[in-house]
Amino acid sequence: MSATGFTGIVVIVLFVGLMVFFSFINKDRKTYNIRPIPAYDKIIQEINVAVEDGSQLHISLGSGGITGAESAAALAGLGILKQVIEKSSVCDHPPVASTGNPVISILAQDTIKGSSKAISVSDNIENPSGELIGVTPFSYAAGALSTIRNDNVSANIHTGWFGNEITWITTAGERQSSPTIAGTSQLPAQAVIYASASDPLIGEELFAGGAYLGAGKMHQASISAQDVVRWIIIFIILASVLLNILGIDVFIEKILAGSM
Amino acid sequence: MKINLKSPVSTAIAIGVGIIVLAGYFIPSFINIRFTLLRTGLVLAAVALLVGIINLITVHIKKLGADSENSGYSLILVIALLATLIIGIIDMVQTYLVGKPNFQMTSWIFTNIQLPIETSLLAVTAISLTYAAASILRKRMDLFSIVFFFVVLLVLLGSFSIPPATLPFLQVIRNWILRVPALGGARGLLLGIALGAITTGIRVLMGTDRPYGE
Amino acid sequence: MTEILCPTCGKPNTDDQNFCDHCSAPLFSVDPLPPDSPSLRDDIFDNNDTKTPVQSTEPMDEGSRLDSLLAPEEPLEEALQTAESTDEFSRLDDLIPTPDPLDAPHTKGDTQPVEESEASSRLDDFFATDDPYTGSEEEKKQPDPPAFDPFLEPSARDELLGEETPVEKNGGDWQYLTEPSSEDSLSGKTPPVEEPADNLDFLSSLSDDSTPEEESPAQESDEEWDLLTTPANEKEPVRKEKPTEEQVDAWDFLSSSAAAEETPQKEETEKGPVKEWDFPTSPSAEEVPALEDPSKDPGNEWDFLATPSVEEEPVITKQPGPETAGGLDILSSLDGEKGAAGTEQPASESAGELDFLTPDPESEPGPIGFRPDLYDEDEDPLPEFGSPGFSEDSGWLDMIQDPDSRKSAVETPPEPSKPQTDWLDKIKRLNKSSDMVDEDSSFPDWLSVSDTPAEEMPEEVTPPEYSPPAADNDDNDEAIPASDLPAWLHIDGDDESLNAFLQKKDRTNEEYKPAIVRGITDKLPPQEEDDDEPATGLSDSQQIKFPSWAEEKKKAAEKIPEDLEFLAGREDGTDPVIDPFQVEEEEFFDDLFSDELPSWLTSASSDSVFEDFEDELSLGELPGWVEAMRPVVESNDATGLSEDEDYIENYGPLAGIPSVLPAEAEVAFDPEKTARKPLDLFASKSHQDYVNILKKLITAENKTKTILKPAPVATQRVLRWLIAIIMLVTTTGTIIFGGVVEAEPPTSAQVLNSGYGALYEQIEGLHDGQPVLIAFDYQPASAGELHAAAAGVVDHLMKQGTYLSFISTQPTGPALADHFLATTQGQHNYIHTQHYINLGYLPGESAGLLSFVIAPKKIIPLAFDGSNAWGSPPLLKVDSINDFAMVLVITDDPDTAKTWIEQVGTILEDTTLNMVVSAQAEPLIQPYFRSSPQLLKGYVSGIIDSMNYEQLLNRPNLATTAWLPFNLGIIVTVGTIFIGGLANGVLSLFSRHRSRVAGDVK
Repeated sequence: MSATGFTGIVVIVLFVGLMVFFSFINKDRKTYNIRPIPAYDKIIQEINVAVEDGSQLHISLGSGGITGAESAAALAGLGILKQVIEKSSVCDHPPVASTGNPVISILAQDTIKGSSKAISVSDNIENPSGELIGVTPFSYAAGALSTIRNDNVSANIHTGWFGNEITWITTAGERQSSPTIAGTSQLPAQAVIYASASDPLIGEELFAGGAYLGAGKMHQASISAQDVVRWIIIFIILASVLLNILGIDVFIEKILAGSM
Repeated sequence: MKINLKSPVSTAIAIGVGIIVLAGYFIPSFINIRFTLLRTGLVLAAVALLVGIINLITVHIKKLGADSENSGYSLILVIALLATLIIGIIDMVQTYLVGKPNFQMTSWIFTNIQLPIETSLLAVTAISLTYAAASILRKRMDLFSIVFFFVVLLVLLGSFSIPPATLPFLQVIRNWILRVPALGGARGLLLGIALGAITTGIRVLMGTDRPYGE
Repeated sequence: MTEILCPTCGKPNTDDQNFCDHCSAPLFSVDPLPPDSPSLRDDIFDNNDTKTPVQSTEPMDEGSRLDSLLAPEEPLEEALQTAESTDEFSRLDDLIPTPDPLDAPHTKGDTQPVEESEASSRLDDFFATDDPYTGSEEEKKQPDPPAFDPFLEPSARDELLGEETPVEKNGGDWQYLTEPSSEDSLSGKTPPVEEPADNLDFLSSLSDDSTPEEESPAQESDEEWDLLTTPANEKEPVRKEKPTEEQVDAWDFLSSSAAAEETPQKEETEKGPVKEWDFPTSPSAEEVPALEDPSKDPGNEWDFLATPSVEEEPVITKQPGPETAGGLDILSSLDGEKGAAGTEQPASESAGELDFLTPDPESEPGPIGFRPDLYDEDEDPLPEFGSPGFSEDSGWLDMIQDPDSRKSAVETPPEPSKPQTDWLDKIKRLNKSSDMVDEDSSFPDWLSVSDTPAEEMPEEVTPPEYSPPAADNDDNDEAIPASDLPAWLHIDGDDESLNAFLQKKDRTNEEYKPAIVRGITDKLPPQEEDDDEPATGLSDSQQIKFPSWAEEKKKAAEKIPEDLEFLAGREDGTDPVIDPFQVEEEEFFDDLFSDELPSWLTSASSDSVFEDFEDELSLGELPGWVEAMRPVVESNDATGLSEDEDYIENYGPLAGIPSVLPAEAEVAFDPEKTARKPLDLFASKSHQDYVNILKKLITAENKTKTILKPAPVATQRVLRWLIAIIMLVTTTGTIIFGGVVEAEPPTSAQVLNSGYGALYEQIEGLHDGQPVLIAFDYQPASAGELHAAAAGVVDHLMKQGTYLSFISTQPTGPALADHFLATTQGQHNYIHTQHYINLGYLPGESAGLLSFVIAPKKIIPLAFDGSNAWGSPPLLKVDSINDFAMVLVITDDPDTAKTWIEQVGTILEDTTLNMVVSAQAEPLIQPYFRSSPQLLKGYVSGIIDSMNYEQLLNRPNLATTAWLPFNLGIIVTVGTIFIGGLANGVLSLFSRHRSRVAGDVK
């Protein structure tokens, strides 16, 4: 087993242990001390607005699939979709979801059906949700414009894997004067989101959606585990810098080069 | 006999396959199994693409019947899809039957329709990005928005290189921005994204998250 | 002490126990008695005359059991006598006389055979209990009551109805339900005998008022039951002068207080059998005196509605027979059966009292209410459950028997009039007189009141317990003295409240007033006087408004409904047999289950009722004794206030009382005035601010507030269009008219440490025929940039003569590759499968890429066009990924770049990995180039690096062509962003300042 493999196992075991540990000792969600993220507060606010005025929410999951690096963002988007559906079950119109990937489209439809069934809300056949709009990012963005420009849509939530086409989506939302909450794992798109969206999700905030929307204790435990490992990485980086200053970095590089 | 493939059966399958593929990265004895599962997943992904396209067709065909304002666009989409599909089948049949590669019609569609459209969309995106950068201070007036604004200007100015209007120090600044703060911030974001991706994957492996429905 | 065997566990218990000590079961079994066993019911229903179980086990005839219940006259007396002699135990002791151990063992009735019980005869079972409460010998000496149908006791029923049932002198049980009849009066009966021990002579024991204290130790306990009797017990001296009165005037609680005044008249101890279920009969006011006199109306229990004025109430006339009364002709059936059942009963039975309640020590415990004295085995054979007193065609069937048929069976003489205090009579009269009562009213007969005129009602008001029905005025001598009745059943003159209650409504129609009411009204001053001050001689508690539904109307009471006739006094003096539960089946059930409201309810909504009611409304008057308590203001001050008094009330009930809260509402205060009042308290500025805030909140409460929606962020379309126009014009003009601008060539230092320099060096080291894998992993949208960026690199590769293999993880990659070659590399004349091969689309993204890296021939066996790729010259020498000389990835996505680096770069050994990426991905892949180990050997990032590369190559290409428009575009973009950003920033600052100022103003 190479050093990389061993490191990988250690990291995974560490994460599992921390998540289980924090899931047991964490307090209730209401008293859980986490920093506020305005984007998720906005999501909840928009859900309430949609419930009150009978409007609809639009949730887009991007073009990413589940077999690449974008799979994490896509899965995070699915989790947020599930929470939004559960929380907006009393809306007159259920949220509409759109995807740019066929696999995510199937998963989104399954999530919608499962959540609707769990809350005893029949799926609205007239408003099919979780449909595949386009197989390419820009074709997906062009197809999503029609949904965004629907007058019944009060807010847009874009969580998933997006590229530069996110510009089209956020701009369309701005034209409709509807708030846009967007988050992606792609860095260039994050820059675009930060400039064009009303409430951006930067970096790992996308993956904290479950904890902020009340998906369960394990999601909160995930945040805690991330914080712990983040601090570990920080210490490792600082230590590496110190070792480099002290001239011991060469020794470490040789070890890593030999094992990798 | 009705077989309920819902949880916990689906959950058990998801967890088992995930653990095996993950273990295959670290444990050599699992490489073959992992490879087999990966290939199976590839086939499923291709099938999922076909399913997605079929779902797209059915949705828009339903919209044709409904009295909605976008039914015209749905009609165009269905026609375009069917036309492209038919042309591609013809080309494929011709290629395999004749023995010569002949995807001219398909290439023509791609070259003259899809490519220009998408390229134009990206070009318009540049305008949107410019507008977004210009209006960021109106939406959000804080320190980071101001920093963002000026960094955009510096990077763009540093990219400009037309003698004699070239400003070398701007290029230096641009290079420094790209290599130091941008790179460091990007690395930090990537680390955070990686941590979030790890926890997301672990939640799926533990069965806490079930994106496949219940 | 006598032991009582528990019917459940068979264990002995003391006679003073009601429930078994071992199993907590009631000691008085409800199981039906054997046929020949005397039952408690005998005593209850005044079957005490026949103490012998044998005699009491005569099966009942077709008459109802209630007939037998009501028939006997004597048992009530006996019950009363027995009640007098009860000990000090609880009232329940009085209710259930303890068995006398000296008496003959209750061989037949100690344990009731369960199998003989009928499931439907729950009442029988209830009555079929050992009666441990016969504590006195006198009670025990009472003859066994005849077998009894508690609901068909004619004598008792007659008593309730006030009918004379001379024969039914044994069925004095339940006399409280009937009007006192002359035959039921105690005077007309044989001397009271000892009640059987098993008789539930609790009612008789409650006639404390009718028995002297020295002779009735249980009278004290009876007084406890005197709940509903008025305080005017002193008005019933007669009752107490009747030591032998067994008439239980308990249950007479509903008789008005004036009934107490009629007590002297109610000394008919020889009242007839108690007319059970005689409660619907509402004795007229004239009947009240009869009820008051236990001697007259021994069975005037339940005559609580009887008026207290005994002397004013006429004798209760005979109640109509059951055939004339519709509905629940239980009383008529009782009367009817009384003749049937009571005829064979020993005359010794005292049917006037509620003998059924007096346990017969000699008789075996029987069903509660069983009247052996009334039970005629011949006529009423053993019932299904085997208990005596129940015939096969048991009395309960008679309940639903047609009154007409029952009436024909009535051969008994009319019973004396019911005591006026019969509450059932009162109800009946009230209903009759009320407009709400229709002929076919659904009001059950047993609750309906008779419409017997008041003069027909017995005078007695208080229905004596266990006493025969109160006799009419002519039969008052037979009535059970009222003093025998317990206080709580005693309705005497103290029941002023009830009298007043009845008075109000009876005032308008004397004819339809119940006797008890009429008696009160006759006594009372005129109506107008009553509106202002309390009625003379009536306590404040009697000032109760009579409900409108009970108000008698002349027109409604003219006709006595058939179902209520049996409750009215019979004019012919016949003693109708009334079954307590016998109803006119059709009418009753029709009324019961009809969707329409019964008439007695619908009449309540009539206007006339309300009109009368409104006429009756008057200001509440304080009673005199309260007025007397009003303090006298002794202050010398003109205001009437003393020194330490601040306020004296001058309105309402508290007028004249100082230092009280003002009656007038002063809550409608004016906040403004309140605010103007000087504060005595210390109020700081913050308090004042709070007050002001509160004032604002209050005053603004009713004001509608328009909620301003936050203005949406308006899109600056002007700016958007402006930017678009400027950029399009600039770039288009430059492309068309600009030409080519040469840039400065990079310096060697710049090349040395750059990615494009490293790539250049690597490609420069390649020679002819080396395979190179090129991955086209970018979107069609990025084709403009990446085609320009990759054109020079691919051109360099072709210039070197390398074989190219194209692959893509994007579905559009193969098409892009062909397009790229066709548009940028046309001069090299590369031929497919000769110089290059297009492997096509590689699905699965990173997973597919990894698989391809491991086994490329397996993953992609054929070319994009289906040809044999691995046999073609470009791939002839390639078996694995490491056989390629170079891997060049063209992508616009940094994640894709990372995937290639992580999946492929780690596996490559001598093969170099290079990239042509978009400018946006450069920061992310640069670390791979500058890291150690170097996973990325070289890269070209965007048009800038491609421009430099082309200058190194000295072969201008697309990058060189696009260089001028690109730079002009940058200039325009920078200017637009700068100007627009500044403008928006300033506008934002101004708007925030304005909002801040506006917020401060608000």
